[in-house]
Amino acid sequence: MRNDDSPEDENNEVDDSGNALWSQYEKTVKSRDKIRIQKLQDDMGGVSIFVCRFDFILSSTVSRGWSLTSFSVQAGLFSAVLSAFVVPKIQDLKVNPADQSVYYQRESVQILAQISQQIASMGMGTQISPNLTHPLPYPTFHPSASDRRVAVYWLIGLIFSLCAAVFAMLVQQWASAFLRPTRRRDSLLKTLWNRTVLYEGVDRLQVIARVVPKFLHLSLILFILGLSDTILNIDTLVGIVTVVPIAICGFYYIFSVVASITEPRWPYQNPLSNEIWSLIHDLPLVLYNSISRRRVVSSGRIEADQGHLATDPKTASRPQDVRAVRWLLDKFNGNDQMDTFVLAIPATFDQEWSRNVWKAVVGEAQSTAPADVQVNPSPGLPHPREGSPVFNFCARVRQMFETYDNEKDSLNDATRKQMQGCVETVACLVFCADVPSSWFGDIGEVGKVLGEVGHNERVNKPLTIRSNPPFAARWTCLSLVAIRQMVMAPGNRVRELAGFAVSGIARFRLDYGAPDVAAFNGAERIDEYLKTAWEHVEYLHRAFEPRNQTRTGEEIRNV
Amino acid sequence: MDDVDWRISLLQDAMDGATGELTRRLPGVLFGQLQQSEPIPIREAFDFPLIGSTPITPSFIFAGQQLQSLLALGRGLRNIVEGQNFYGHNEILESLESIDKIPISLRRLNRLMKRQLRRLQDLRDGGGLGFTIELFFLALRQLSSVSLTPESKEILYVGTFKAITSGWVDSKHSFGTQAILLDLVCDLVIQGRGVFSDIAYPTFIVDELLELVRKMVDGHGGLHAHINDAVEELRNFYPGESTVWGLALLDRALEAIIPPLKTSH
Repeated sequence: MRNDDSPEDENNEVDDSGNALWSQYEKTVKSRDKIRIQKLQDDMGGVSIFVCRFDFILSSTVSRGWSLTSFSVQAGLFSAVLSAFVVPKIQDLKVNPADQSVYYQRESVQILAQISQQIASMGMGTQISPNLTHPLPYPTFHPSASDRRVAVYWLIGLIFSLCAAVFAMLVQQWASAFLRPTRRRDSLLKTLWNRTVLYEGVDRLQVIARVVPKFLHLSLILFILGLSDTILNIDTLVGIVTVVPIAICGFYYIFSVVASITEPRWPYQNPLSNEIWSLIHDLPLVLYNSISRRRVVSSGRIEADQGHLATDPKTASRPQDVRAVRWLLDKFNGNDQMDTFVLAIPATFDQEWSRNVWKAVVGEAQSTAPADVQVNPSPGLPHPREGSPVFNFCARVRQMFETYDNEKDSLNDATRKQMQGCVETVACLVFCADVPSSWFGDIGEVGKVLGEVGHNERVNKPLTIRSNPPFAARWTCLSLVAIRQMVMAPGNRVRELAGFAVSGIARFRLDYGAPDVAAFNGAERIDEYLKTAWEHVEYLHRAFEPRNQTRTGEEIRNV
Repeated sequence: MDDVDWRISLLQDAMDGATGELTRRLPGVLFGQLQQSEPIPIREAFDFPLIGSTPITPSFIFAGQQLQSLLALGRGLRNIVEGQNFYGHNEILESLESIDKIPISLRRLNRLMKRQLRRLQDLRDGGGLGFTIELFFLALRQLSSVSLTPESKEILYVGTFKAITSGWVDSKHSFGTQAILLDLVCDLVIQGRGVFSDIAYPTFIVDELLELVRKMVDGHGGLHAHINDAVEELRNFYPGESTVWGLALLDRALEAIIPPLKTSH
């Protein structure tokens, strides 16, 4: 471990005082590194619990900062279970002394019986055969094929398991070592240089970290294979009873691997899925590269494929997006963050897929519902389903309009900004998501608020149009739709007074005939009057121009 | 004339009341005011904003008031020459000088009253469809510089146009509405013809307008003088060989107004 107070450090001292940029950089990378390393350590921690238990004891001293002083590793859980099976199985690979002893005892008994038979024969005067059958040596030991298989499975499984433990431990150590330079009291720049050098190695660290779970999976698979083999050889019935649940679990495991490869939307991927997926994807590429002598790089891992799938507008999962927006509307409706939510909505209409999602959300709200649970905004327009998130949201915006109308005499910047957001949101929903404008309340009331907003924000001034173009455009469009509906609304006198004005023009020339024809003639006559009047004024203007000031009184009178 | 102005001012008040003065807040849209007292100075009577060289005339015009201000100048000059008006003579001379400041295009405005009559007929018979479309095109001209993405613009403006024109069937037989739309199309095609000339409106909006015009005049061709007049005016217009876009627009406008087989341009 380096001593920070060493002469070498003093000689390389770098003055980085007051460098705000590096301070900012340090702050950013520190938090980023911490998250990354923490994730790595957590992942490895999970492995440790399964395979073994690590006891890290970190201590702090004033002069040296944080350092790893001691650790211990204890076999646990899986390794312990595996070891318990492996040790007796190894005995099956060599001669069992007990079997050997039994064999020789049997042979001894046989010789003794033979001797006893000869002694009895001597007593009866019978000729004794001088030949004695000598015991056979213990036959050469050959372990069974099953024992060999099982021993191989379990031993390799144990090796994988222990390797996983060792790698997990090492990764945790390396991760701690990576964070160490930033904890020292080095100069800022030196710390950052150290970090930069080490950072390049973190990617390699992750490669190793990814291997650890794969080892565990392989170890577990080998253990289960060995277990099945052993039990089937001991007792077929017990073996079958044991193998059936193992086979069911195995089926689901294989299914998860295949499913995550064939359908990236499925979440069942495991460490082996990535390997098989890479093999399937890379093999044709390797063949292609070797044949064509080109270098086409693989697209990476399943996660990359999932990311591509999730962000590709063509394959975007619409139902999920629709549910997400609906949930958002439901969640934010009426709570404190509603204002922020309303302000954020217009920007979502900049992309086509997003507009389609909004349309689908609105389409759902317009779906047929029983008459007794509907509100009737206006005849001929789609009926919103009362209680649907969109309808509730529109009702909430309507309330915001009413609040603005009530507070129009004491507006602050926040209220004005909020109302601008409301107007933009309503315009986007009406024009881009097909929400009927009547969902936001009586068009007369909406028009009144739009008029107030237009007056307060001076929308018709070029400065406003330049400073907040989206708002100006959306407010104008929404206002035009409101105007159209307000002009058509029954009860106002626009139609009647327009007819009154037409009849006034018709009376101008006192023509007889159809009123519209008379009005046309009257309008034509007025246009002629205006034209003639302008011609005379221009003539007068020319006559009194400064260059014509030499005219006599008589000439002026003639003019 | 005063009676006509008064009736139009009544309508304008009713419009303000119905829309909560929302029409007055729209960008690019102008509304005049009828003065009850003396004739107003010429400069005030013709104080229309210009976009480029095109004057933006108010949606409601008080022609009597404009005429009075023009006549007042002639009367005042006559009085000065005849020695009858010594007190208002500075005002008259100022009025005379102010004519210089009124652009030529504003002095050559024609068909103001005829267009106003069609607007009135549209409000009476067509529910204000043509009137609102005119407001839309006026506002659009002001918003042409707005920095939205082309896609956002198209969706917003087409959505607005469709929302405004959703009840077009109710206005199909309104003479005023048809005439406003035809005038609008002629303005778009013929340079320097009117308020909507000399600006390149987005193609998607022009397409929407032509489609609406096609639907509106479908079945009326040959029956109404204003449709025949518009066709005649368009046929007599030659946009010049250099303006390919203008020629294409002319063809499309004619196709919209009359069935393609009858187009003989």
